Amino acid sequence: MATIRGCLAASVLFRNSVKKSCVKYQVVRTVYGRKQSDERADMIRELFKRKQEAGPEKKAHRGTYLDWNYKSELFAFSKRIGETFMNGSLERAFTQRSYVLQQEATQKDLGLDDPDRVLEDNRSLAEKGEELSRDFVARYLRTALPCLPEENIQSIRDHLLKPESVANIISNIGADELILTSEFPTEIQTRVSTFYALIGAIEESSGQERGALFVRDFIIASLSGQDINALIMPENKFETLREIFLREGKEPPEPRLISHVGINTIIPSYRVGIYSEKKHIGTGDGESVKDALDNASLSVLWKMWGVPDAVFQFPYQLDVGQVLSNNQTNVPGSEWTREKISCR
Amino acid sequence: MANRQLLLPSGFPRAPLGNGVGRFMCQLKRVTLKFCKERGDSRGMRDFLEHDLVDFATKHPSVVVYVKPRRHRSSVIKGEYCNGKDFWISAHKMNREEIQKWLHLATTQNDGEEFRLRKMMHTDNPSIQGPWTPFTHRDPKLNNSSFPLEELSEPVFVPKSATQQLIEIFNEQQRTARHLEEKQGE
Repeated sequence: MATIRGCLAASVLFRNSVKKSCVKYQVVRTVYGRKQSDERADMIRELFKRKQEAGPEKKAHRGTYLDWNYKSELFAFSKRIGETFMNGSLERAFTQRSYVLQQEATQKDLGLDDPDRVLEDNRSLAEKGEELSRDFVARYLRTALPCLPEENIQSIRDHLLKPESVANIISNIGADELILTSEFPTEIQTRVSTFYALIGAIEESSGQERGALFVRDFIIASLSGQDINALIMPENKFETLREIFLREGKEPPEPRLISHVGINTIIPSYRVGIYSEKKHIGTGDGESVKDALDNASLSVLWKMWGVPDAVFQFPYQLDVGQVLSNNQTNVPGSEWTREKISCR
Repeated sequence: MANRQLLLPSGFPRAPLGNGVGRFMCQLKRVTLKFCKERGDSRGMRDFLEHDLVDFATKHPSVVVYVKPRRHRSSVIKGEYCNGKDFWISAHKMNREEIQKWLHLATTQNDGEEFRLRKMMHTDNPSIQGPWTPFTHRDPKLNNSSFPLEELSEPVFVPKSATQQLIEIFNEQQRTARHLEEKQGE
């Protein structure tokens, strides 16, 4: 009985409290509602104005957010690229010199001058990685395109290892935020050295082949979707072709106008053929005779140099061991003949 | 195509850094699951955390999972991708299976960007034969002919006159009749 009475009392109390709160709510809305909303609108307007005056918000490093765990990020990163790292070499690869200096200065300010606590930076790893990637990219291109003159191999390599391209790779594998550096946002040179240090760390942990595989999968693969022809375009197309034929001791190539149409219109079309020793070796079209001649010369040059086209695709999956054991350099452009290629 | 799609960035199917040409890399780098410990609309998220989170993290070691309780706010899935783009979706009142599905999407897509595909395919070599020129399918007969050519000045298609059609029908009938006579003769 006592419990029932207790329950009843509780329910009455509850009902009263609900009623009271409702009344209070009503009073606030009716008496102060209008005024309050005006003040609130003024405040929002003022805040908006001040926000406009202050300009866009300053970007903060992801590491300053609440949800950030550097150790987990490093673990996930190594899993993402599918590599294993030995005793802290990954963290060392991400440590820039500027960060080490900054940490030392902070420690000195705090009076923690401990000679045993020395942070290692990534300079030695970066040197190692840069050497490996420069060497491996050239070897890979020579293996994939053995008939291309050496100068063109160099120009493709320089394009692939441009600071902008390498920095782009590091931002696109989600490693930009992991770099320990004093600057924000990270500069291109910082990202480049971190990328090479990463390759150095892989080489140190899992051997040269694994490091080379990383270079193949990230630097060489970035060539996909890019126009190789634009990188190896000779300055004087027909002259280059003529020199090759003269070097081979053959009759110089002879261009002839095969046909033309619509000469007096805004879209004329010329077709030029190139002949040597009474044999047709190539054709090209263009809106002027010079364009057509250039295209005809290029079609012959691409065929001779074995440049990838719609039929022959650039190989992205060459065996790393085979590439690393290839010590031959390609024939330089000034000595290039077809005999030198066929004897290899 | 709806009007809204006109303003979307558009393009062709693409893979960042030629993903898969070398090695495959899951593009989602971290996901933050925000939820409330008390409110009912986070129920599905709490169920997910209780039953599936460990499985999810084991299956995707390359994704950092952060769990962020927030009092009296609805639950949210926020993903961050390798190219710096974000993927945000409100998981308000979603059940456990729906959250699993959205996370599956988050781990399998390029980035969270809305993107209109102009075509469902992409090729670096749109033409095997090379660009078209006026000489591409030219009749070789024209190589030896001298111009102006009478034949080329004629109309390409002249409809048959009624007389011509009648003559053709008559000829056809004659031919069939002769054919039948020959058969009977045998």
